[in-house]
Amino acid sequence: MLRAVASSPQGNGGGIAGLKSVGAFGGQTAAQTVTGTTTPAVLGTFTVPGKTTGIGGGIRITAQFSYTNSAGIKTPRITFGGTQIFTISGGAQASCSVIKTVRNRTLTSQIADSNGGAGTGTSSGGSATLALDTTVDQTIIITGTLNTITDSLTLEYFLVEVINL
Amino acid sequence: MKVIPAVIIKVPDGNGGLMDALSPATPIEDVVDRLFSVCDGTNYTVYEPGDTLPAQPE
Repeated sequence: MLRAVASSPQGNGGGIAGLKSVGAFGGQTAAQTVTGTTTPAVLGTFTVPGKTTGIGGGIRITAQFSYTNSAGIKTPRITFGGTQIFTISGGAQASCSVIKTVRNRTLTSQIADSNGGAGTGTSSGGSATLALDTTVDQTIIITGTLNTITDSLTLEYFLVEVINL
Repeated sequence: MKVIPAVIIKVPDGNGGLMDALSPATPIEDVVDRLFSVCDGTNYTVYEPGDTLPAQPE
């Protein structure tokens, strides 16, 4: 399993003298590509330790994907704690940028944008609600799936940030 | 260059269930001397500085 290193073990989201700011928590900087197979492939993982985020806090996942610009369908997918928070299948596309914020309403319920949305803007899908227990470890898994084995799908990088109030 | 066999693991399928997915048999550390990695269905090949890189897709 690909493993990223956390840069802020306290996970307090940074900040000074009462000013809370987003804290870079971890991620993956080297690109991971899948090609030559239609089996889904894990491109990156990161485990958010339990109690990293409090009520009103959350995580933000930024990811950049590159594709072979062909008609073949490419499907990136991001799950968090076993719940899918992002997937967009498509062909004739060259890249995809994703910024997903999953925010705690309570320690066991979250709100995020539509599963089929890239994080900002409008979507035909409704806002997503999650029921993750953030007092325990929850893992982010990013996979890529190809329909055409001669195509490629690359996770260029992903970044996980912690937001706490 | 490191070649790590790909194994099948279970990952969430987005519909409440699990699906098979390829994953490296041993974790690939995100370190400064790793350029990029490619999964070809059989192995995860990790390219490091000094390696001959494969042709990049257009």
